Amino acid sequence: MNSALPAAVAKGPDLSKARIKRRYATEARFRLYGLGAITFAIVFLVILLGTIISNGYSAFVATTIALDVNLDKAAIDPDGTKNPETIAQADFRGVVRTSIRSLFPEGTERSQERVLFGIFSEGAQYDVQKRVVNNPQLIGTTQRFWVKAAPDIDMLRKGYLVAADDGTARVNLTQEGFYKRLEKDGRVRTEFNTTFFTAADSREPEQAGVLGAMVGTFMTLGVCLLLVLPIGIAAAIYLEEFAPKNRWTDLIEVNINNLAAVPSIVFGLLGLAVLLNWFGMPRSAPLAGGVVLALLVLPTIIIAGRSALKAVPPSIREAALGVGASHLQTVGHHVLPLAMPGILTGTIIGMAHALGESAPLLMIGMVAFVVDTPTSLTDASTVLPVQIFLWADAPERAFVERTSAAIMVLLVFLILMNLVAILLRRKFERRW
Amino acid sequence: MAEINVALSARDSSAPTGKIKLSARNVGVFYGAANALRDVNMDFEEHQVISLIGPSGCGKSTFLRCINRMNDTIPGCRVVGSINMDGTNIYGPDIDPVELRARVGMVFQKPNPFPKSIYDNVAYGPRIHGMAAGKAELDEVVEWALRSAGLWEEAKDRLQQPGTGLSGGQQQRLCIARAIAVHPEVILMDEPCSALDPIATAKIEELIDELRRSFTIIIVTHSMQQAARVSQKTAFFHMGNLVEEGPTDVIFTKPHDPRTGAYITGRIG
Ligand SMILES: Nc1ncnc2c1ncn2[C@@H]1O[C@H](COP(=O)(O)OP(=O)(O)OP(=O)(O)O)[C@@H](O)[C@H]1O
Ligand SMILES: [Mg+2]
Repeated sequence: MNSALPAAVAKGPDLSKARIKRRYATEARFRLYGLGAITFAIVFLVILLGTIISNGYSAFVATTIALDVNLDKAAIDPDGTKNPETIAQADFRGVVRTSIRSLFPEGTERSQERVLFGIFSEGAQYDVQKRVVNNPQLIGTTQRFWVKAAPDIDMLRKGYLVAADDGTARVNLTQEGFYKRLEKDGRVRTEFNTTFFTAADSREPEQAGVLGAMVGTFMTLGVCLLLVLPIGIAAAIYLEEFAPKNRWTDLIEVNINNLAAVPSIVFGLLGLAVLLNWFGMPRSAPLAGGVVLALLVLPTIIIAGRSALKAVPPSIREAALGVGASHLQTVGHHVLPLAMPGILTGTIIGMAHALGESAPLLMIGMVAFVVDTPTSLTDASTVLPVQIFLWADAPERAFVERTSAAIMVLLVFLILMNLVAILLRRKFERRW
Repeated sequence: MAEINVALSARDSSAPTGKIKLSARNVGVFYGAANALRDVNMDFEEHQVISLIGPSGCGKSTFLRCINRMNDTIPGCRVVGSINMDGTNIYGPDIDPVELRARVGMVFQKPNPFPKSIYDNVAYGPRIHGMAAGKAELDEVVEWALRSAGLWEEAKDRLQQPGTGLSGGQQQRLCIARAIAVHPEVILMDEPCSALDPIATAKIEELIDELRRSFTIIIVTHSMQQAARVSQKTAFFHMGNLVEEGPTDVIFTKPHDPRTGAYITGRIG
């Protein structure tokens, strides 16, 4: 010990200035790289969100035009039956057109009438019809209706279109003239676009909404969650706590990890082949969609569940076993409750993943054009990401903003789900 | 509960009887192919405190875990030989290890209360073993266990607060209360004081002496003083072998084996 100190030990640590300086420089450089990476990511995120929001915010408002409709008894209910069915049969299109004509008392040329009618949404007559059927006492009076403007006029007002007489512009100068006049009369206003949240899909942009897709999404995710939570937890518990460690369980483990990385479209093909063709489940329905998504997220949830179970300290297991709890009691009373927040966090993240999936759902026909909000798990329906896909494909300018708006709705749901996951994690931070 | 009290007082009156509670015969343990413990033969008398001493890695914990078959839960661990408890081999075919662990309680090195209330920590064992018929009886058991563990005065006003909120020494006494709440016959303690300060240690040692009247206690310790203070009998392990066992005062004053003397005086460790 005293005589033979190794040379390196005798020399002692190298505390020279140059060495320390080099260490500081390395650290500073590393920090700079990290900062650069974060900045890069944030810039792209901001660009992405900025584009979506600037494209989509205008879809949340809609242009409406005041129309004083003369609910003429002779035209709507000449026999005075007040019977809703009779009233519904009446020629509301004619009633609305008469009212539109009367906006311009000096009269318009017949050839220009079509241009004039084109300012208003095709849906205007249905708004009037609905209100009169529900309130038959209005017949014989004149009522003011704020009816939706046609999508082209809406786009014109929002500044996305320019009127021209060159034959290619969607709005010609005559139509713009009519619109300008209505605006000057104070008959045009912008209001919150409730239709966007209360209607399902439609060919007419001003009548299209995301409610159908939202309900479809909830149903699909509901089916998915009901399947995935019990199966995922049971599988995770079995594999982590009870399965013997042998070649078979190793194989299962490897395959579960592989499944988590399988492209989602493959699950769609599986769903098509097995669920629709073999089990005969209805096409385009949340039932089949939920099952396919369940298969897709199950591996993720099993993996998350296993790591949550593994994170429970062995001392807790020993404690329970030590007072004579059986293995199942130990897991059920102590390990699982402690792992539950982790399992739920994994589940929510898995569900958020499922929420954004479209490819596998396309394969089982959820890409259909559905104008009704689904009311059961076997109704044809669509989901938010597929709705976005459909609208992104539509040629009308008005669908461009609706696409971005639907993306915003989807993002809000995603953020909410992730928020719940974070809150759960906070609330149940390890307490042992 | 009434039965428990009767049983307890019956046991209390019968201080050291000389009756053999446990006897290990040719016990050996393998972790995979590694032989961690060889040929241990040893008897444990009722109402005694027996301490197991020896250098780190010599197999004390391994032997302790044989007595409540905790080794069964370690994959790859194999136990040979037999341990008789009141004349029945606990490794026999009709012994259920889960039931055995209710009869042989264990206290671990690091206090490991459940992340639940103090009350639930103590009540857990009685609950799963269906000991108490109703809330009132369970309350009684909890109070008795906490009193026996010397924790009642400190804990009675905070029974519903988490057990993890207690100090280290209190947590260890809570773990002892949890172990004795199921009224085991034997309590195993694996270095119960190694995470505690001297004052908390002194409390636990006092408690061990107290508990000896009702239970048989086997304790692993690294502190010679502690072994000398609390135990009537001491066994010295070295490299997987039981080197020597006997009355504590004999082991500490006139050990037969030179290795025992060397360890006790601090020359091997
Ligand atoms: N789970 C295990 N798997 C494999 N080997 C183990 C396991 N537990 C213990 N061993 C080995 O068995 C031997 C005895 O270990 P044991 O824990 O019984 O020692 P110990 O006497 O309690 O030591 P210490 O005083 O440090 O706690 C050691 O060599 C150890 O490495
Ligand atoms: Mg040990």
